[in-house]
Amino acid sequence: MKRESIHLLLFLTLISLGAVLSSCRDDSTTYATSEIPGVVIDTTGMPQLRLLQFEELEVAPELHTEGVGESDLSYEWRLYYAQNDTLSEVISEQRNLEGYEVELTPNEEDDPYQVQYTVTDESNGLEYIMAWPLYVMNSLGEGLVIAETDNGSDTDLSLIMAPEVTEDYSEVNIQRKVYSTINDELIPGLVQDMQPVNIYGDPVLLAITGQSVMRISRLDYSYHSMNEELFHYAPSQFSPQKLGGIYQGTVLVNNGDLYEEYLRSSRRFTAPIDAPFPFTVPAQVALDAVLYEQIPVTFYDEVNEQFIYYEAGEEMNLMPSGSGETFDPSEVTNKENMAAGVAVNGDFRHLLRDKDSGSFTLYIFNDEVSNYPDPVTPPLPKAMYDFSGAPAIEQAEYFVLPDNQRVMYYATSTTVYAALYSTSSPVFEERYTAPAGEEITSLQLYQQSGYPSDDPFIDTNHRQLVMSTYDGSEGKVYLLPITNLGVGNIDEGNIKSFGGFGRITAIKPQ
Amino acid sequence: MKKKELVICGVVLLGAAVFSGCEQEEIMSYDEEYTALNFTADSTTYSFLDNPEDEYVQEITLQVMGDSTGHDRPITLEIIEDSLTTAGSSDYDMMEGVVPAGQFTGVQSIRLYNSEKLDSSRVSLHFRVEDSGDFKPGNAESDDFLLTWTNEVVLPEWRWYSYFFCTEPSSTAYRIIVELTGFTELTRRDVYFDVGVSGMRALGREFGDYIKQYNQEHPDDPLRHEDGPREGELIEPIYYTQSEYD
Repeated sequence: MKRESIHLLLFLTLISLGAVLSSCRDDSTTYATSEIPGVVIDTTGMPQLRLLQFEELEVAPELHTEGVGESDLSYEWRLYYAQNDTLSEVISEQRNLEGYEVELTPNEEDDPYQVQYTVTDESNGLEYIMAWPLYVMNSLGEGLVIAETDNGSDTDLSLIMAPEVTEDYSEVNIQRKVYSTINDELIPGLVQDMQPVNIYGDPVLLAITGQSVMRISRLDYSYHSMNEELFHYAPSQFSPQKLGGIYQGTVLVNNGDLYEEYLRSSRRFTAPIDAPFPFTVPAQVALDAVLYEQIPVTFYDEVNEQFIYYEAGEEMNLMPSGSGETFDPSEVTNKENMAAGVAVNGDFRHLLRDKDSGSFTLYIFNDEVSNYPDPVTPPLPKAMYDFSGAPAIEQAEYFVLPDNQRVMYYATSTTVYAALYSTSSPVFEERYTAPAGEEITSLQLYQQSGYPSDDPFIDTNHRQLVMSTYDGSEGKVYLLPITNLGVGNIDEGNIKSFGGFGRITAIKPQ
Repeated sequence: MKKKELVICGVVLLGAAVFSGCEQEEIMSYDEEYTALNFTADSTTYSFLDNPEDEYVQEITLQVMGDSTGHDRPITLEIIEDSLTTAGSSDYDMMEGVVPAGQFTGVQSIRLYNSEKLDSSRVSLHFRVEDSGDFKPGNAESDDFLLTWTNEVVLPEWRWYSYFFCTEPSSTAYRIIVELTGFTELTRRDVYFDVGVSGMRALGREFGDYIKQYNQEHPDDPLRHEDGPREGELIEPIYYTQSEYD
């Protein structure tokens, strides 16, 4: 080979060797060679941020800051007026949030505010962010609404909040005369019944007196509107008898007519339920609030002596007559209504008193049977219990049919009795006597507002009786715990009472 | 030198062509004297049906085609004496009309008078914008206006009423509906958003109950349509309370 060529070859070989040796070099540029100590915001075990309006919000988050100097950290607490919104305000720049009075308006359960906590490591500019939803409950929270009167003709509204009637609450907080404080006047007439509802997004308390239907805001008990303003086709006469609720429907019985309305979308009652025959609705209607019940309402029409059921979205119908059944609904005549209720298995119950003999009978119908797409099988007679022989039942003014046991409570002005009807011959026992000098003015089973839809429920749901008494100058509310379902004993040792009221005319959980 | 001469000639000719080819035309710019007024609608009819007074001031809006100015400009209208103008001088009063300073719309007010003859007839006024100091008449399609007034029932579009009250219109049915519900007209928005379908049915039932109740109390003189396609026939409501009237 020529000498030049050899030189060239050597030269090229040298170059390629160099290239080969240098091409595989460990690239250590992506190694994390700089250790940054991090800040960890530990939220284990932290309770939900939930408080009443005007309370102070305090949050002391646990921070792990090893390796970071305390002086390098800065903090920011930011409040967002809606989750995922951009409008916000810095409420503190301390490590812990304390002493911040929450003046925000109470929010709906599914639309909370948001609190965002940012810890910034100033030495490197890194931000550590944590956010929590904030629930502001109005100070008129869950509890028992008490309608009371001092003058015997006008009503005020008060609220009892206590662990037995307010979920996740450990204090006893009684706010008295809230209605008159806000509105500077009382409700004319005596409130007989109330129902918490939602009208087009607004939390509302409906209340009825003997001559009016009223809409009251549940945020602060301010008066909103009444009577004609609550109806599209207003009734010619306002003589309300009952307020209640079924699934997606508020029930109002007025002047013998039944209204059933999903006020969240309708905003007003439209027109009463119709039927191709004359009928009169009593105050004692059995309401089945379980969702999608095809027949949510039944009642005994005293005027026309017929049992009637209402098929949701349709009209009223007569219960079919049935000879050979336990009882024939069309043969139940000359009765007056004392109480009505529904059992947890869907049975409809009507306590009727014979106008002539004065005897009390409990009529029970089976739940309806859905045969979709065929017509529904209406409630059929199931059982009948004769309560004659029940001590003092002729003097009884209050009747309670708890959903979850075959026990009926009835009360005279001094004593509460239980009628146990799980066997064919009912057994009657005394359960509780009011303290001397106190007259019983109401008795009902405690049912948490939202039942049966919003489970889980408070422990005391269906497990206590709510009773009110009056001794001539002071009204009291008693919570009587029920033990031994099926026997219905009252746990006298754990009775809670709240006093200092006027004469109580109605109580309703909100 | 032939070439040079040719070039110079060419350049000179070219130059001449260039300079004579581009004429600058004046861009037509806005001149105040072109300012005009257009009516924003063709016509309107006013009914004294729900007005207990005997006079009403009708306001007619006009739109300026042009610029606003720093002073008020009066509107002048001229009555067109044609077959459409049936109102007499006692039926109306032409009032002030002005386009306020800085605005692009103006309002002409006309006071209308009710009288007995309007119970069963209508009068109209046909007018246009007069070519006055500040304004010229506007576009041909919008430079005139027909104003009609009456005390007759002016029936609105019946479509939504026909679903909830009664299928065919008449002044009788309309008067009752307005008295009970206040709805002098019904739009899709009223039905689906403001009141809701079940709410409308409730109002229909209120109307039906009124008819049924009236007929029950006046068995010899039940409610009939006084005009419209079902003139003379009984008013048949779509909804009513069966448990009461069946």
